[in-house]
Amino acid sequence: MYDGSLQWTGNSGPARHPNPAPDPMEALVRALHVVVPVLWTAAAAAYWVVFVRDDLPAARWGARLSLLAALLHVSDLAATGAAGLAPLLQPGTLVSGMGLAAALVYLVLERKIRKPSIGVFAIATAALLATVGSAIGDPFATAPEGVPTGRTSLHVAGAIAGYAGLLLAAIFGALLLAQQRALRNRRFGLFWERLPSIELLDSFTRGSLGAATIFLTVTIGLGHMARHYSDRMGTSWDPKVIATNLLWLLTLLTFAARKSKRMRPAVAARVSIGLFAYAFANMAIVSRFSQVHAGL
Amino acid sequence: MELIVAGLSHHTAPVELRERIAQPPERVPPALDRLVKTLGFAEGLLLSTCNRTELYARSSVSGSDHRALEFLDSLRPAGAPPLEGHVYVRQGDDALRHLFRVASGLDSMVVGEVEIARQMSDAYTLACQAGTAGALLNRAVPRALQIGKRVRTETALARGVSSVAGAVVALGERVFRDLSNCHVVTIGAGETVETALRALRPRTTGRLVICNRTAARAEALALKFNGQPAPLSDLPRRVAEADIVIAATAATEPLLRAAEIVEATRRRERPLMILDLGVPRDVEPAVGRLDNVYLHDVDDLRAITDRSIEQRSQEIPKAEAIVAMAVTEFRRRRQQMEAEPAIKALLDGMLRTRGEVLDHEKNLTPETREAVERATGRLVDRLLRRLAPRMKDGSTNPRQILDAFGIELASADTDEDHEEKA
Repeated sequence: MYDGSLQWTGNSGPARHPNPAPDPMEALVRALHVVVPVLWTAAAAAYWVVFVRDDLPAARWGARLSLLAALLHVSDLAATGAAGLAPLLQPGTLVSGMGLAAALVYLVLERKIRKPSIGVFAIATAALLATVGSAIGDPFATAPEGVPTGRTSLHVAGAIAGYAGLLLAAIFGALLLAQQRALRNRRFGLFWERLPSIELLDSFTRGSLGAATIFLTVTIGLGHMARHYSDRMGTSWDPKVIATNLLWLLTLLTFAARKSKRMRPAVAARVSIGLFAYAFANMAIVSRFSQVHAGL
Repeated sequence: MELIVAGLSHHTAPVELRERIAQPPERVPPALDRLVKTLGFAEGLLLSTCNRTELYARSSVSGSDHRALEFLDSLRPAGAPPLEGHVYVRQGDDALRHLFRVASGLDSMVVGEVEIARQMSDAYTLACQAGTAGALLNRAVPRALQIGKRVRTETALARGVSSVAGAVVALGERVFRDLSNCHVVTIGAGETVETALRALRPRTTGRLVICNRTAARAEALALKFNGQPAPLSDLPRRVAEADIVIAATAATEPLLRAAEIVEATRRRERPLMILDLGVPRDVEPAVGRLDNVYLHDVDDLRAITDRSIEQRSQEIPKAEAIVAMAVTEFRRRRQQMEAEPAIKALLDGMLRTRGEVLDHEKNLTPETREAVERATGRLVDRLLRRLAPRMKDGSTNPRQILDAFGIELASADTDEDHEEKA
């Protein structure tokens, strides 16, 4: 059961839905679990056409389908909450939630930078994560019961968005390094011609790092507040707390260094990839040795 | 009544002859006027570019090919070499296929180039203004432009870059987000630099500096491309301010060394792209290994263009298939449109004859006449239902059918007028 803090207590095994009879909300959640990855895939396909053919109608369709997919994805999370389960707190919805966050961060950047040719990489990542998320877990079998407080929801959503920002920074950074290497090694072909310029990839990397910094700041701040009011969430020396604070600090420093032009684009790209690897390790490994999220 | 094309192009005539025959736009309307009024063509369009001068016309009487050649010969200025052996004439489907191929860029010197579509569109506008575009050209030329667009959309015939100048822009677009605000510095003011600037300058509004040993040539090029001249001694400072450096001189030693570039780029944020188009090279190869600096030489540009040209050549069969389908479809549509007035005339003729026959029968009661009209109407309908498809698909000549029944095609129902209405 959810106790108002960042912790859930009680049944640690797979949660069973108390009502075995078919529930309309459960049916809706299951339907959205199928529709959302399909829509993300359709949006990725439209962006692929944009990438290959620089097609303006496809760009419009890509953006529309992405927005529709994002809307239904959010509805999916809301329906999960309405069904009495905690959204984003089981592996499947966590993974697909990261895809949603990555797509949203990208769509905001695209609106700002006005170059849709790179969207295939971000939206295809969202489609992949949404598909994997739908495939790896039945929310009605694994999600903890109970709806978290607004503060906890913000903490979890902020963490996912922050990690998604780092994921995007790593993707765009990797593309920047690939474009740079292709130019140095004299690789000329359709893929390299269609890949955006080094300057544009740098803009996307920097924007993603900026988004990651903002979301990590919010989520860590909320986490510290929650820990302050609860005596069951570990100490300040908890490995998760230390590792996450360090991640935030490194992300902030990288973003500041790149923003103030003290770091070269290629260096920032490499650091972004390293930061995402670190964030992934923090999520997958360090959390196992932490008491902060015990019971989640 | 069919399309005829007569002309000369880069396939058949050397540039010395092509440039003598080429017609500037202001000379085209009087030439078309002469074509229609003196030589008796019903319609005409003159396409004149640096690579071809072609007459597209509608032949209405026999001997059109000779008169088309006569027209081309009239464009030849005094003292120009004769056209014999350099001109070609095509008629009917061959002429139509040629028109579609030209509009698609399949017949161009650089296969897939897009400039020809604009040139054909301009030629068509001139013909319309001169009043020499009629039913046939009004259908064939816009259709050719559509087919050209379709070929470029559905195949990769126009993709990639096919010139060194285009490769310069393509490389710039892989480095910079927006070429328009890039500052350009050239080292040298020769023909190669001028070619590169011709492609790059329309895309950039940033500062242009021409560094050259000879001040007069630098000034002349700077004037041409809205830049400013500078001496070679200014080079380190100018390179530090530049985003794109184009080097093409006859110097035997590198003019830009890695140590100088390191110093010049120490405080810069934007990437630096250097295009070394000189042979021997003007930039030390070690510059290409520096961080945030992208060095390309003439071999890289050639690799880009060769690759594009090879890719385009692989697309030619697809483009030819689209053109062939378009020719068949165009012919089918024309046959249908030509047959429709004939079918109408045949129907009218049969009904008229029936009326005349029935009028001779004085003993018919109104009821009987009505019954006979119903039965013969069904008969005519059945006959025409069998005949009309054959007339439309061209397996039966509509004119021969009309002749066999002794039916005249009314002048108001001529195929051209019908097409105009369509």
